[in-house]
Amino acid sequence: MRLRRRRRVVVNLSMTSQVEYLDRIETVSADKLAQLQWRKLRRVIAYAYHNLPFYRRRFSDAGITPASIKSIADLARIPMVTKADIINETIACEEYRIGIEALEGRQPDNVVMTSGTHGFHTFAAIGDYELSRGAIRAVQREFWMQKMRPGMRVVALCPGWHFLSLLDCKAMGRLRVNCILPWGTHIPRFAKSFLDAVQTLRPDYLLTMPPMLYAMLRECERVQVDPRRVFASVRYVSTVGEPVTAGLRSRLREELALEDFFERGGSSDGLWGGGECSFHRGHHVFADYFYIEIVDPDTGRSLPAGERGAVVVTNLTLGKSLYVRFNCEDLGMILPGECPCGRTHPRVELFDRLSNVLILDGRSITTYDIRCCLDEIPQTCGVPFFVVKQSDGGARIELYHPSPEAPKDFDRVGRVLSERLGVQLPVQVIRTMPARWKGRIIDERAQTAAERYPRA
Amino acid sequence: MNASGDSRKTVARLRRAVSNALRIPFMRGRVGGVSARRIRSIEDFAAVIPPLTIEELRKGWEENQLSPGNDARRDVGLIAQTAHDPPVYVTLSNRALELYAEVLADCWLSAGVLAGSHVLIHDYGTSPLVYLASRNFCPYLKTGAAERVGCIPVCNDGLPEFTERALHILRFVRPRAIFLRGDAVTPLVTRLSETQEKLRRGLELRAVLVSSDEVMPLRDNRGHAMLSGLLGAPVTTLVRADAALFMASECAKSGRLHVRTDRYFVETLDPTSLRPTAAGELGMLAITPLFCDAYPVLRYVTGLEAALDLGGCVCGAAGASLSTSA
Repeated sequence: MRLRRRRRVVVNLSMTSQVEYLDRIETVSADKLAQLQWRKLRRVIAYAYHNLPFYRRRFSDAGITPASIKSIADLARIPMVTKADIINETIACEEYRIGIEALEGRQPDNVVMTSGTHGFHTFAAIGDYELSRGAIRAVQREFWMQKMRPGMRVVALCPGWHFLSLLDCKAMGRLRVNCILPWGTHIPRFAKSFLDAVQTLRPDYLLTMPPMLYAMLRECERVQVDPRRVFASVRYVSTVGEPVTAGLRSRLREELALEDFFERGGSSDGLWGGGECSFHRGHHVFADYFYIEIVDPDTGRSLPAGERGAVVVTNLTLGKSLYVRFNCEDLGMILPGECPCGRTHPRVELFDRLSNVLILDGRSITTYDIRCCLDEIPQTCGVPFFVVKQSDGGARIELYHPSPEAPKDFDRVGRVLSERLGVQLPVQVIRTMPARWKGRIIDERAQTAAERYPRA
Repeated sequence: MNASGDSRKTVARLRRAVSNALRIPFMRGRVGGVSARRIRSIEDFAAVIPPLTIEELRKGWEENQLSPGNDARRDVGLIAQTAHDPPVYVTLSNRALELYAEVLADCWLSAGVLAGSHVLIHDYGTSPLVYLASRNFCPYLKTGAAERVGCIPVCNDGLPEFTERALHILRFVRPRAIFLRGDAVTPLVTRLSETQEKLRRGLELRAVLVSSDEVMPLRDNRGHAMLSGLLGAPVTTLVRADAALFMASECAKSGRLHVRTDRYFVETLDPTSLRPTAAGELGMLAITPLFCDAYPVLRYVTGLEAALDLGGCVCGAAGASLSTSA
């Protein structure tokens, strides 16, 4: 089965262009969007059933065929795929190809993998279609929405193992930006290279991950330079990998004198992504490429907009490993209402991995919630922090404060946490940041102090 | 000693490289008022163009004399940082990017990579070993090494802490070739020693290519031998000098590095006087890439010691080959 090429709105991609939307479809009415999604969903489901052994088996086990799915509401009848299903299948096949590769008879262009949050990296095959005509367009829209314009100098890393990075790479080329590749990877120990790239080449835009950004700021502190001076040319920063709260965004905008600070999100499990617009009201998920549901993590029941639950994705394009009702095991929420930017595509807020949700004093708490509390106190707004799961079963918060003087107002943190979240958490100040590239949760039971703080 | 004899083609290529270089204030400043037409022979080139050190390159970047935007090089899509400390940058036009990727593809082919196979690349995303490997790893690259050779790449950041992930790829993707950073050899050997039997099942490796550059030791013979034993495949070296966009891979028969003389003009220089050394004599390797219109580095003196041989290689390959001091 081949997907028909969609007509695109051609816009003037010049530095001075005032065009807000890259494609007309970004503002199409909700009805039309639903119709388009339904058409695409039917194609994808039919393809999965007729061509992909993994799905054929699961559909048959559940007693459904593509004909059983008569409306979007029927989608819930299709059994959800979990990460464990993909892992088990990979182990059973002793192969990365597990029968979900919707490559239409072609060889993959690349094999990508996940970061292995659960201790097992799953693989996905990516074909040329996806990277030339598929979800790459969603990323182009995302970049455009986040003010990336042709001719801008953009500092970015392109780690070839990550799906979203492949899309970024192709999309930057399509947008005709000048791409700067600093040496190394997103591990904070390469911050010096990143900082040199910013200082020497004076980019307009920085695409990175929050830990790297913090490490760059720490490097500024170390060499005693004013971050505002170093980042003087940088107009926009867009980060991916962990949620950024409103308070943190404001602080970073101010600290780096940015015009705007954006966040992007998504998952290499399930091959989907989305980004914030200038109004910062959740991630716009382009509904012509991804169908997102939020379900109750325990019952699997679909949840309405405004309720937190597990993010479930169905890809709406072929040409890659296909995920149909894949439970990304991320905690998210579809935001109710309309976005003032005028885009009609759904907005999703992402909080954390479900496995990172802390159960404290009988309450479910995410690092996002803790961040929101910290942002209420001016002295801790934007201060990097970690939640340490202690070996005695308890937890504590570690706040990064490099200077030897006693931090002001840090003692208020415990009180705010108690008032807002109803939990009592001890707070400790650390002078060295853990050398990690993602994640705010540290499991003390799994790591020694030397592993956590290799430079300490 | 230089790599090309005095062929007309080489002189024409050098003249073009000099002509490109003179568009850049930094290079103009270094050669004074010399015009490219003054280069009529290879000796002229060596006499007119002073060798370029990494420190001078760095200064050029710091003083903003090398940054694209100072001239009309509008098709520069990619600027890549090197691993030097402090780093320098290379700017790549779309054309140069294609030709650079072609050199990498040649290295893959000479290492024995076959079309249709999966290849594991265990290096940073910003290493040329990765960004030239596929059109999907680099903006503006139309045909990467994988597309040229017809294989499917799977990447892994080349950090020692990601060694486990490399084993995971070996187990489930079963690549036929591995390309890895020189400093990844020891961690990989250590982990492979523990899991060897389990992994070897179903693994049919044809080639292991270890990359080293100016800032990394050239060759760890013991490590390579152990890796070869553990993986059951020959291990060869790919030598890079990223600041001069240089790559050459080792011949499995002779152990010498094959150099593409249509892409690079290589010389060996006396480390003290920086004058060309005699044939077969060890000297500092100096490189002039011949395909870099947007970044015309001339006579870049690498940190590598090598001896140059123009008499062809025992494997039958004609042209220049290098033996390194490692």
